[in-house]
Amino acid sequence: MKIHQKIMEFISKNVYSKNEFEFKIDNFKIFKDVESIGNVYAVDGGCGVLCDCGSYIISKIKIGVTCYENMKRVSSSEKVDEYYVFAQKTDSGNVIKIFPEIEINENEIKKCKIEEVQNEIRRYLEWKKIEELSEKITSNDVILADGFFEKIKNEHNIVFVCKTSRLRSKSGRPLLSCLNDVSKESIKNEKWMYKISENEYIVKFHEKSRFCYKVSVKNLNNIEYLLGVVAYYSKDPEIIGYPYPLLRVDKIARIRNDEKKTENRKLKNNKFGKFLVSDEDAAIMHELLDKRMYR
Amino acid sequence: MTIGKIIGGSIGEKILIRLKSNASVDVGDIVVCEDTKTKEKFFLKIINIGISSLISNQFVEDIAGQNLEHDTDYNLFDSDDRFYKMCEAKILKVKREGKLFPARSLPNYFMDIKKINEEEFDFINKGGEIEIGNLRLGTESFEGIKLALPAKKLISHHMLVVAATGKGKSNFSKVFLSGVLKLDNYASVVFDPHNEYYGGSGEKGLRDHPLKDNVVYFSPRYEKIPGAENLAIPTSELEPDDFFGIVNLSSAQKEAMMLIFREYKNEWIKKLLTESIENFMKIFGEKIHRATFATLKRKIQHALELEGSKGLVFSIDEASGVSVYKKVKNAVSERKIVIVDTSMIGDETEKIVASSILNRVFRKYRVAKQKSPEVFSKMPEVLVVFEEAPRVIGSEVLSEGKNIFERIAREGRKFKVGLCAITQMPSLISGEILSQMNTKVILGLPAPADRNAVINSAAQNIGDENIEIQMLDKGEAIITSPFIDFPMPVKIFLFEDVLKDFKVENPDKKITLSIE
Repeated sequence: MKIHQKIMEFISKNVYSKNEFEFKIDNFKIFKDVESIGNVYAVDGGCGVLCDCGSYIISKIKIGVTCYENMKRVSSSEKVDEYYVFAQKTDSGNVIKIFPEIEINENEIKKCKIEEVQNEIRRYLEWKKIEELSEKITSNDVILADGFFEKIKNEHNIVFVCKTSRLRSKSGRPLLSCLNDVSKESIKNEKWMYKISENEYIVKFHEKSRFCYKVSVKNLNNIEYLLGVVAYYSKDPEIIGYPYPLLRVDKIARIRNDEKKTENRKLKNNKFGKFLVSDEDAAIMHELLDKRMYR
Repeated sequence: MTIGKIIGGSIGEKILIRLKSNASVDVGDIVVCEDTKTKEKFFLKIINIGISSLISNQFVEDIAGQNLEHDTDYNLFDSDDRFYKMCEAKILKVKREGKLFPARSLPNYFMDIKKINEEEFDFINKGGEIEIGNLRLGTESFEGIKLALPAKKLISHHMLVVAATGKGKSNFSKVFLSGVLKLDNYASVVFDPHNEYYGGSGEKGLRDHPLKDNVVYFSPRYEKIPGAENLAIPTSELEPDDFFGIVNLSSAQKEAMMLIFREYKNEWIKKLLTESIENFMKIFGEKIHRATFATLKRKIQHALELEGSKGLVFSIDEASGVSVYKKVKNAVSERKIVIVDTSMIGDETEKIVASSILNRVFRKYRVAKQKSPEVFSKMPEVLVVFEEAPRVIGSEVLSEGKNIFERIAREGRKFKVGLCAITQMPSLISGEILSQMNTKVILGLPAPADRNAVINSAAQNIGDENIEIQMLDKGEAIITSPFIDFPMPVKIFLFEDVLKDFKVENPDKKITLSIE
């Protein structure tokens, strides 16, 4: 028997079984999209390593915000904040420097691996941006964000959409997939939500979408309006069923390879940057091998 | 208003432009790009428009499919950003410090593209005399900018007017001839197989022109048309040359014609048609085969459309009055336009009429140049207009022998005689002759073979105009010539409007194409 078949046989016997998920049909709720009467904001962050020198890393973080009103983007409300992070490993913990300077609790990030620093700061900045935005929105506005932030204090209309989830059934299958399978048989051509915990739902935002997502909402009084608005904004055919403002904000906050290369060049090509070339060589071999041998 | 931005391209290839979502641009439009970095102004012509998207094709196809097959409810967010139009353009000219240069530089990335204003066409130099239409950008024409072709050089360097049926060949020719009428030193001989140039029965023609006194009209039905001359030619005035390259003749038949002509001079056709073959055999013996006489007799009788001794144009009677040839030559000398109505005669007869007239006109010019250069220098340039030109300068026709049309195309410009060949199938004309036609008036050609024939033989590179040529509507033209700055998009005047406007003094600013 070929090895691939063996792998799948093992998984199907140990993980996949039709009865492994006991869903409660009452937890499924069908909902309709709702034409938003307020603005829909989306917040997301992106980060990328510009220069990895082994003992220190220079990275870039972008925090993007976009805003839609009546399905149209409000260009004046779209903004991207850019930050540069220097993270150095020392015996007494990480040395962190952020450009431009921001107030941040360094205790947590001082202990983590330096390659994880940028992600921690990005998450902090995203959270800060959401907090800041939630202060000024009206009750009809909705904020969309990627992931989930427990520490969000404000219970305004914030909807967190996770693209992926590690939630699993008893036997270990992905919960999203189990629910999707069940819904295909019993809830056809409808948008649905399935409550999995107090603030968490699995939601299908478009009846024709292949995907459902884990969604976290704090403001449960307004849940149908919120999910209805998100569904209203999930009709773009490029990724049907995924909120388009999140797609847009991902695009503007993403740090692409071209941008990384340009930034790397700018760091090296100034009067203080000469040593960076040799420092970078300390950690660049892996990348070089990738480029030369496996491309 | 900004309608697009430069996003790529090269001088050798094309300039790429992303269009603004609400921009209205047509193929053929001329746009302008002012490079704020180099201070150069680029005049660009749109040669192709396409749609594009930031989303991969596979997704786009899926989007359409989902909607078509499953009626999926969707909304295109940021559709103007993600789905847009792109243009390909070519650089016509670059303006630097007030002077125009050929394209040797490029605009920078993201430079604004704007629509051109009328005032910006001051880069088209003055110099033409024959107004033929308004500058056309795409489908829009600029009433304020009248384009005029330079008669000098252009006429004797030959013209080709090409278009599919109904696209306005005859209208253009009438407009052009109207312009020729106004000039002092030009004449024209027009062979009119559809009887549409002179006018009549509700159709306006040159007889309705205020300068109609400078038009001479020959027709076999002259009696019904006031002022018309009789198109009657006695066979005694014809020579074997008038048939060569026109009537399909073998070498033996050509030789026989020459022998008979030498023997009988101006009675050669009369003798050929009336004498018995036996008598000929006695005179010419073995020089001419019996069968050759018989065939020649039949061919010439047929070509001249003779029934007995008379045909509609030709007759074997003695000449009476002033010959048509002489009248045509006189009219040409007097700088008039001669129209020969050939609508009632057959194809071959028409070609013999044209060939015989042109042989004599051309001979007059040739002899004058050789023997009296001073007289020649005062003779007007003459334009020969011939419709359905492949009948006389087609590759197939010329493979059987050369004729006067081919000779004019090759040598005419030395003797101030130009050919205006009109056709809807330029691909049938020999490549060598096509390239001799320096000025080409292209009025919409749907057939790829015809377009390629014109494009490959044009004096300017008009390969990029292929799509525009295919899409030209009635009266829309592209004119290419070594005597104008670049292939010029024109909306040809309506001849009826030219007649109306002729009386009115036109105070409009006249901007014309340059003479080289």
